[in-house]
Amino acid sequence: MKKLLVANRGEIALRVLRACREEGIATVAVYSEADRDALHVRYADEAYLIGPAPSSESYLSIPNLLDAARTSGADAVHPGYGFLSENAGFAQACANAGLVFVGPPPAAISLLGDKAMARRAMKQAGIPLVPGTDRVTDPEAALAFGAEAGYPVLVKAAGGGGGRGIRVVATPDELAGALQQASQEALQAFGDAGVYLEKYLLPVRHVEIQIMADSHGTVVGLGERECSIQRRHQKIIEEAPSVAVSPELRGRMIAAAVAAARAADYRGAGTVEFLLDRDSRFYFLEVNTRLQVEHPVTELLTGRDLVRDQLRVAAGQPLGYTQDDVSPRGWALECRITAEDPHNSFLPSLGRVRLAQLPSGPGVRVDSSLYDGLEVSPYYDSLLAKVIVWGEDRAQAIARMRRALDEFVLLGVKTNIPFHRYLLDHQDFQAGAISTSFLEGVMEDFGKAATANRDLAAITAAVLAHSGLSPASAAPGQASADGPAARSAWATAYRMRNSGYWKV
Amino acid sequence: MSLEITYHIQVADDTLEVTITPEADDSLLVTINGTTRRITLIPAGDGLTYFLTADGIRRPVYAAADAQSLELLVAGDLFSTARVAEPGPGGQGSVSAGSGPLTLKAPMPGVVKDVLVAQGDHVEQGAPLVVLEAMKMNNQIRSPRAGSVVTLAVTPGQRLNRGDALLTLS
Repeated sequence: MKKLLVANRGEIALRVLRACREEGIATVAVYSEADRDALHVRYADEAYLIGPAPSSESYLSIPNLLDAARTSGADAVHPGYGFLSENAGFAQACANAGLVFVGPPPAAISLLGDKAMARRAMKQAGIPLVPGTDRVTDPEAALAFGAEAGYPVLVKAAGGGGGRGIRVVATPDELAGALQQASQEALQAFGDAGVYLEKYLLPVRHVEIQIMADSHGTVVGLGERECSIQRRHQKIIEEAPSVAVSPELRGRMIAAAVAAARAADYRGAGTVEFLLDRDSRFYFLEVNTRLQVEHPVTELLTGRDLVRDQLRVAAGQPLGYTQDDVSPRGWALECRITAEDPHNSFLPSLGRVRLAQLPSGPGVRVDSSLYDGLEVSPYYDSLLAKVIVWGEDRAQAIARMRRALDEFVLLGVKTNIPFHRYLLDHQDFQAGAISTSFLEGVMEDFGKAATANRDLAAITAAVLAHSGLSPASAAPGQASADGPAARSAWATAYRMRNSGYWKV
Repeated sequence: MSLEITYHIQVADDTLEVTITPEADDSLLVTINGTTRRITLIPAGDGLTYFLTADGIRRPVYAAADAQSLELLVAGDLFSTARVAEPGPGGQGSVSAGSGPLTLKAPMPGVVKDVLVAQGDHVEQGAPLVVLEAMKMNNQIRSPRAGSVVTLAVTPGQRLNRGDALLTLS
């Protein structure tokens, strides 16, 4: 591969571009009108405008992407995660255009992307499944399943995945209606009206296995990631290893994940997701046929560069290591930092970022495309940065993450950092006693902790007024006393104080 | 000299009353929601970072101001704040002349060192009236506006509590 086009944006685009730089591959970025000043655009050797801000007209536009590839003379495309990364049509279109697609073959993407079909394939491979059905259209069949498996059940979109298109049904009466609605929503969201059912296992951990497969018959399992801390099926904190996975269990889960990959004739990086119940039984959930957001957790744990591995596999080279060579060390933890207001239902916080400081120091990695002046817009997801830490053990990793989050100074938009701090301090989290319902359980108490910081903010504002200090409104280092703020009420307070005014 | 001032600070949707009393050691006693804390706020010099020490616990807070509001980042929580005028007549900040008799009170406990005026004296705004000794320092209490001394409530050597009346201005 001589020149690679990254069909993505944000932090993952930057991640892929960095690996290309190290491998001596020329880099091509694409951007929408909203991303003209983005970091990934500035980082690449060349960059091409591919459309207006809405994703459907830019990052999801196969013709525009292929145009950019043609114009740039790229010979390879990396799809990142999200967007077209699990779109078999895009993988095929790249192949048809003579471009190497850094990912699995279109057939594997198709098979595993249809979640109902994937379950069937896994069943045939002898991998235990979450009790569930194939595609269901008949309410009678659905009710029969519900009666056998017990409620609650989940109605899931066959074309979904990644936590999307899931509906919980608590009683048999709700089932028929839920099937109908879910099917309609699935058609709109994924272009596929098919739905299937699964038993809703609770309490359960979400534990996934990272696999890497080359075209020479090697498939390696790079250990597990514990991803149970989720809000509305979206992961917030991930860690590796999992406190609930013994070496013996790990061996069996890796064996199952590798078998799943072979059953699908997989190539490249992938993640096999399992649910782990209280009795340490694991059940196949789905396969993600792409690099995942939380891949740095595995990278820090194993010392491997997964994007580099992806590039090598895509170029037809052997992976270069075997299962025996994988030696995890210590503990890794990731917090996803999003532009959301944790005190207001995690509503998106839009605005212009004032970035003062990113975390750093030993064992701290930040994957981010943040820069001072970035406009957080409504067009794309709210991920601002991933903070990933490594520690010798879980306790050190947690202490390190707390330190790192304290070092993250960002104004202009609200972030979920206070929520992460709260979770890291929570005794259940520290004890590793987590499941996919952990987050719901702590939301109420989190709300109560909010007023302390608010009072300190009021105190600070009052003391600033009282002291006549006025913060800079422009870049740091600029004299603050002459800015517009100085001519405001703050200066009035200062003058009043000196004139001898006081309250009676 | 020291004085107690109340500020009204809007934080998101709430308006909070914050009362500040300077102490002789340059710290401040700050009261909010019925709780009083000893506070110091020291700028780091970059126009952004301030070190807030509240009851012995020091933490950085970050501030960015624009024309309408002051953004403050406290332990990862971002607040949009603004200072608002006190509602009602004689709003805080108004050094109103001739708005009725004004009783000046001791802003802190101490001992009256010196009384510089007599009943009936006319004073200008800023004129020193009483010297209050507290924490081994002499604090001059000055007149907030022009007026006449209607009544004097203290004599030298008198020990005062915070809030005790000093004198009344016309």
